[in-house]
Amino acid sequence: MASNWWSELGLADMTAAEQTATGVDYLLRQTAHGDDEAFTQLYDLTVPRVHGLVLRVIRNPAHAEEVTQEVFVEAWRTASRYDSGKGSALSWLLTMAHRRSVDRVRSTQASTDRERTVASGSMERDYDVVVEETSRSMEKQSLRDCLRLLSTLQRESITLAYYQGYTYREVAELLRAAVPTVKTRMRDGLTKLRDCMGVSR
Amino acid sequence: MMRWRRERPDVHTLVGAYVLDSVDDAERTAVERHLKACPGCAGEVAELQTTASNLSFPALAQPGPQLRARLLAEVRETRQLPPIPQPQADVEPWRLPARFRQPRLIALAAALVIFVVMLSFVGFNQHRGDRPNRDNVASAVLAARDATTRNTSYAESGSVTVISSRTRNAGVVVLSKLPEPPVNLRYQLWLMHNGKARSAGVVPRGATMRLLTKVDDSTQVAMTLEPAAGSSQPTMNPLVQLDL
Repeated sequence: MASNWWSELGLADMTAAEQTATGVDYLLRQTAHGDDEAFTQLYDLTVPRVHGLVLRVIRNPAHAEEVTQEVFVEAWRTASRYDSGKGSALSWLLTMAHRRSVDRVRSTQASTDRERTVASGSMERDYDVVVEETSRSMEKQSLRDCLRLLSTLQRESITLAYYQGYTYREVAELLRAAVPTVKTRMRDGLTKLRDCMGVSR
Repeated sequence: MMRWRRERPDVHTLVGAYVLDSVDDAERTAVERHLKACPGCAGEVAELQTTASNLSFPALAQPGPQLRARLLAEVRETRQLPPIPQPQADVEPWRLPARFRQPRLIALAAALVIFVVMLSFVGFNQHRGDRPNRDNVASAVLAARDATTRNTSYAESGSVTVISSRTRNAGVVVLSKLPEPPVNLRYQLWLMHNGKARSAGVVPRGATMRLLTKVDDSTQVAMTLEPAAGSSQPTMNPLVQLDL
């Protein structure tokens, strides 16, 4: 093949994560056709990301495994309803995983050991963990750089909501900020992250 | 957008919290009802949702192996839902951009899938750090700005794809559906320069990915069939030859 079609197609500009996403999209489309082999591969390929997120929000390993299983059963059931116009298949899975994790956390709020005071110290720790955990470098680098562009209130509002599963009212309480301000910071902080990460549909 | 603000001032400000799953059930329902009627807002939510899912990137964890077995058993007994009927007329249907509709891309996607599945095996199913070098080199090749890909079909349904990067001085060969070599033979890869061949390794039976390191000034990758122990020089004309 004479020309460099990898760059012709713009693939040279994709990050490793996006290239992975291409494979995940393909497997999810096959899954929608009832191909359980594709589904198995989809699971193997994405479960570290999905379970990593679920475990992070839920913290209890047994509960997290239940939710991870629910997420993949849901992915199998609703694969045909995945709309690639709304984002990558990986993002679809992670969105589903996050929502289910948060739902689980909320419904078991009273009975879990998650209930503990979140002092500003532990928030900082969470941010550090996000930033420092060893992982493949490129995407982490851009996530770290992008998070640094946010104001402290934007960053804390977003990370508390995302990693701890708190409602924006709870976040406002924790940060001693006005509820409307927190809502606004979540939105403009995410917008800033979106622009920094170059997310587009 | 203006219409939305007039009708529902609250819903709009909830977009960020909604994307972070930081709203209560009633608010979630209100936002979702609104998104169905407002394609522009749905677009914003989709982008922010992708952004939020990128936040999860550093969190990686492997559940116990019994989860996989339980899940696959459950899936075998679970009926899949049919697709949702097409959206309303005033919502522009989404289409894959023309440049992504090419069969070559689909072939590449398939090669990438195999490659990434392989990576997930080396990366996750074994103990972490087992083969960090190999893993890193392969990731670096894939992510390299100057990565180039060559692909050729082989035999009936097989294909050989080489993804290589000069700056990384490395490449990844993805072997897809190659016929089994005769019992005492193996495929062997070669790096070619000025008509001279240097072995790039014997391909173990059933392997689907090989890493090329120290590509240096080689201009081609070739594949031959050789005795199982490998040869120091190719003993036949190449079955496959790809430019780097």
